Amino acid sequence: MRVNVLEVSDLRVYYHTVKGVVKAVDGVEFFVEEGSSVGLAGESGCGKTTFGLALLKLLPSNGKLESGSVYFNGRDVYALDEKEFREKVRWKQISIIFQGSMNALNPVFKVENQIAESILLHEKMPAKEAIQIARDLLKKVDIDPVMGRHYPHEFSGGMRQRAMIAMALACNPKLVIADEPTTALDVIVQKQLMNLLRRLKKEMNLSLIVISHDISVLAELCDYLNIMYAGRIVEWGGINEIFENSQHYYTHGLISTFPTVYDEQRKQKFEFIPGAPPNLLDPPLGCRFHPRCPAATEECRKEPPPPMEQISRTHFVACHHPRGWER
Amino acid sequence: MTDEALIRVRNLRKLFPVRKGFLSSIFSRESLHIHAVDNVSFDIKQDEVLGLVGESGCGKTTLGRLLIRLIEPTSGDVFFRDINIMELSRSEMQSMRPKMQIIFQDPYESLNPRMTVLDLVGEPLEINALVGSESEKEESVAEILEHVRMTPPGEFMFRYPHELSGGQRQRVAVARALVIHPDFVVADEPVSMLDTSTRGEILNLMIELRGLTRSYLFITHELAVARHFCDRIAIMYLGRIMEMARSDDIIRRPIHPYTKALIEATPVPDPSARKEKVSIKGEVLSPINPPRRCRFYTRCLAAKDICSKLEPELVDIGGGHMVACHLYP
Repeated sequence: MRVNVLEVSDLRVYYHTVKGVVKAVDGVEFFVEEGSSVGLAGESGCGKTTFGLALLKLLPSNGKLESGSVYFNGRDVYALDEKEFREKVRWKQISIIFQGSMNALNPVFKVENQIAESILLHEKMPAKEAIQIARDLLKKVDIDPVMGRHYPHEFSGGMRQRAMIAMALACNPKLVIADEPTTALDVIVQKQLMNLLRRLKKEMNLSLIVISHDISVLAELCDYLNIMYAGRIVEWGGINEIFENSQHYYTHGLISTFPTVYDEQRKQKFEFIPGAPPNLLDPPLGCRFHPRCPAATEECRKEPPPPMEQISRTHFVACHHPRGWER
Repeated sequence: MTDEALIRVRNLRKLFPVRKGFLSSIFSRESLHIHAVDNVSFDIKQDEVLGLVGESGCGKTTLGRLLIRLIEPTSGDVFFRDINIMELSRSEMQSMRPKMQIIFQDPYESLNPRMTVLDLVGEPLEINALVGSESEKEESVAEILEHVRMTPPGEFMFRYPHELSGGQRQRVAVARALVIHPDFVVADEPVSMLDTSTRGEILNLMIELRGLTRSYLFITHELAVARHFCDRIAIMYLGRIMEMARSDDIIRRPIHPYTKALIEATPVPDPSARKEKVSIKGEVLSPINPPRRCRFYTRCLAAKDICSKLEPELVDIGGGHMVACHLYP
């Protein structure tokens, strides 16, 4: 049996804004098996980035952890105080590849110094040694180590993203969160980065959480997939089960809206999910997806969906009327 | 679709000068230019959707803007039917404008936040004096809002952009371009800012509203969308068109190594179809003063000697399939 490296239960993160309380993450259960790569898919504003930040306790000041526990390797890391969390967990055990590498690197420091900085914050060693590690890391992500002496603006978009990956790996973490790792990159660079992530995961025995709105990227990278809608996980399962036998209408919609380049026939009609994701200041009652769901009934409008129901060993769904599966 | 061309582009070039520092401008005589669009010729047929696909920085947006003369070319001509729009005076060009419109990429930036939907969509009607009175304007705006499914129109007309979702905003942008029934519309990445779940709705609308316009130039970086939306696809790389063919042909029988690499790299929403292969090396070169050779030479895995010496021309290899590559035939 494989061990879970991460177990999250009942995580709730609310943003307290002048307009009211935004329930960005509202009761999420989540786990990652050691050495696996787990996807988190959803539309913009569904809370997926907030979830990633919450795991590292990096929430903006108006974001509050309302409830929930995070166990990492069997240890309750949310019980640690900030100093301990910083010293023992953040970056040493769990690190993150931030979204938007264009803005995440500091423009006035050399790239190798930025990577070395994250090492020196956690390990006692001479700066020279840290720089050497930084150069080795650059090599690992297929960047010529000489480039470390250059500044971020001298890097192409793909190289900056690689540098971000190198930085996330600086302290040999067990779990890496990749937040939209390939968004805003061209397809060829995206492909190269996905190959790199796959290779590193294998070489360094990493576990990965990949957050993305792009379900095709997740299809290429992940072993398991969580589908998030309006702050909640609506379906979870093995990647093939999700793609071949999706039970939630939202999951089905997400997958079918994605056009495939290889289709034999040209489609003159595109699939879409009507409407827009709800405002999390005031999410709909009942099932949060009901205003956009083709199969919504009176029950869906009034009753919140049942808790996750098991379909197979590795497939769960939270829906009143799952597609094509009899209880 | 008829074979008659609506737009004919001939040897179009656009170079942007690169600003240099004070010292280097004294010590070096060489002038630097970004070759955004470099000697491009093609036709867009009557009632055709032509897809222009390429990576960021390849010049596709610049080309789109040149076609409706939002920016001036360095050289070359664009014929709209039989009129060379590059030779028109300012006022003559203005009278051509209602025939050609553009849908911009970002509905969060292209709509004036201080204008209501009525004013935004009504503006092209007023500028082109197509309506006589306020009530006439309201009528036309209501009609097009019905078309783009913002119903009932009365409910949306007096809203401001911030009161609309991303998809609704882009529908306003579509309505704004189509309200005056232009012959030609440049759609510059009209869905790239939207979630995939809502993209289909906008694309379907654009297909349905083909009755209101004749031809589209659909600019996108997503081959999968272009494959289904467009009649023909042109693949652009560093300011040049590398391959151009009917969308079925270009996907099933790609010829240019760059097209092949693009198709290979396009992710597929199917975990059983995973592939790691990438038949391309290196990164995109700088578009500043590119050497006279095949633009793809440094990244091509099949490059031959001739590729480093001569820039290939776009030639028809039969059935309207055009390709610019020394390796073919």
